[in-house]
Amino acid sequence: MSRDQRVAITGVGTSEFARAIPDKSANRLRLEAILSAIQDAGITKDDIDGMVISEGGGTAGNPRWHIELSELMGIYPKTVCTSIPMGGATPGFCLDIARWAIESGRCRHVLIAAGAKESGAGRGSHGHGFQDQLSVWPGHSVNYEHPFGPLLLTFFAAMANRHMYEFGTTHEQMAAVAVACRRHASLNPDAVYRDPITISDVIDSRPISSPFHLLDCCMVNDGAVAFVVSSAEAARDAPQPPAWVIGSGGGHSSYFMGSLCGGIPGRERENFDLVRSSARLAGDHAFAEAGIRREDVDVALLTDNFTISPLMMFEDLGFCEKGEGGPFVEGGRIEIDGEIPLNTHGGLLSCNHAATNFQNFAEAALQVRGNCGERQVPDAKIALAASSAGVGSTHQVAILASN
Amino acid sequence: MTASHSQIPSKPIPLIDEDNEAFWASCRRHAMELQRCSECDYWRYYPSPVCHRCSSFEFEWTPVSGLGTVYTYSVVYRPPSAAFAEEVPYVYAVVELEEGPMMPTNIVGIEPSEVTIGLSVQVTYEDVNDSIALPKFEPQP
Ligand SMILES: [Zn+2]
Repeated sequence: MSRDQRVAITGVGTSEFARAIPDKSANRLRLEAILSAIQDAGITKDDIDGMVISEGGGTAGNPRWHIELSELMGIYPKTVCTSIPMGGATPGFCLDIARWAIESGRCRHVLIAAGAKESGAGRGSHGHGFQDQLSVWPGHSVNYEHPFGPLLLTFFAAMANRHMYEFGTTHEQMAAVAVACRRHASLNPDAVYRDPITISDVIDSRPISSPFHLLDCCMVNDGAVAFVVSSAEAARDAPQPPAWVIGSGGGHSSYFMGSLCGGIPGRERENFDLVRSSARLAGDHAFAEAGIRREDVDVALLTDNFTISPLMMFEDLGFCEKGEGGPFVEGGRIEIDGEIPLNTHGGLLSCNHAATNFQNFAEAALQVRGNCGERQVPDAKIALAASSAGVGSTHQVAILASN
Repeated sequence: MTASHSQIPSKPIPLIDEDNEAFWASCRRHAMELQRCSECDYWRYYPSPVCHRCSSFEFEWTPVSGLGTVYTYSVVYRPPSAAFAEEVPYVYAVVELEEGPMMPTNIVGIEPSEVTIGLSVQVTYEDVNDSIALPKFEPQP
């Protein structure tokens, strides 16, 4: 086995997750997740010499959360300390920075954390309050998109409609993603929504922005996630088995719908567009670094903000051919007892959306450690964790492996 | 303004700046012009001081035909804010202009359920205020 064993996730922690946690501040939730991760890693706060924190986004955003949390925790001194403002792709890049800092010898234990009280920003699935944040949050064009009244999810709905048009994907196929995530959430005591649902439940839920109905869309809620990334030497002393980071990658194309739909100027549209994402770049790099094949992956933790997203990521990450994501997610293949279980925690659709996508990396570590209880994928050795932002157009992925 | 009115948010209005004022002025005249690169002939949108393809600063504001096809769309049932509540369901779309650029917009003058990808459309303008007319699209006759 020549796999990279220089950097590992050695500790993971979460707060409770709920639609609303009125009695606790967002910092309280973040600190609960941080202390839980530190304890899981078998270290004290004084062992931490790096902090890479999510900037948060929207009204939860603070470009210097790293200062706030560092001061609240009393974590000094550090040799790396920053916040990352990459929206949904933040966790994968936090992990990259931790990995590079550790590989270079700069750090030994890097703390990564995120959390939010999204309930305070409005109710429902990326609802009114959340939408109001977008006017001060120019990840999507304020001048040329928002005057026409899209919800954030409308961009993804337009992606889904184009995918249906080009490849014959059906709403039933997208609904299979929501059904799988809910089934897995039913096995996860921490998940917010645990009652199993059917394809018909998704199709019959109320329409939000076609082709999406309510159950195609993630929740907003309160919660926090943290993990500790450590050097090999430190990882070997840790109480939990290490989840080695054996590969990672990034891929970024367009943010604005105009350029995303049009593809890259002067190049063939077939390179990247609304339904051909730069997840391909991130995946190709991560798999090449890890030296593994797609079929070696035992569990996939993908961004399921909306049901189209994992379906398309299975294509762009190379688990199936472009256009075959619809048939790929059907028939139980992505369920716990299938070929490639998706989002065993329950995902953004059914477990937790606060600390968006951070839980994918925590769950990947727990799966290869064998700590997932009822939702454990038997004998899971390799997990792929993804994080995506933009309109499914900016990606950071990592591949974790057991010893 | 009464207290009750002040609680209804207004729709987002584009901000005019040095790079886009000619675009919004052309929409105000109901005669849309986009930037065409003087070096490589690339049509670009959204307005930009530099060519997305060849990085040239040289360009001309050039009239477009106003014709295009629906590249993709979504029918919005849940309004993004109270400002849009009266209008649901409406169609958010990206129109591929005859000249090449992709333009986020609304499709109007047709039942939302009738809109399809590939539908031939033409520009129409919604006058929002003295400075801004939004380019929207309706089916070609
Ligand atoms: Zn040019």
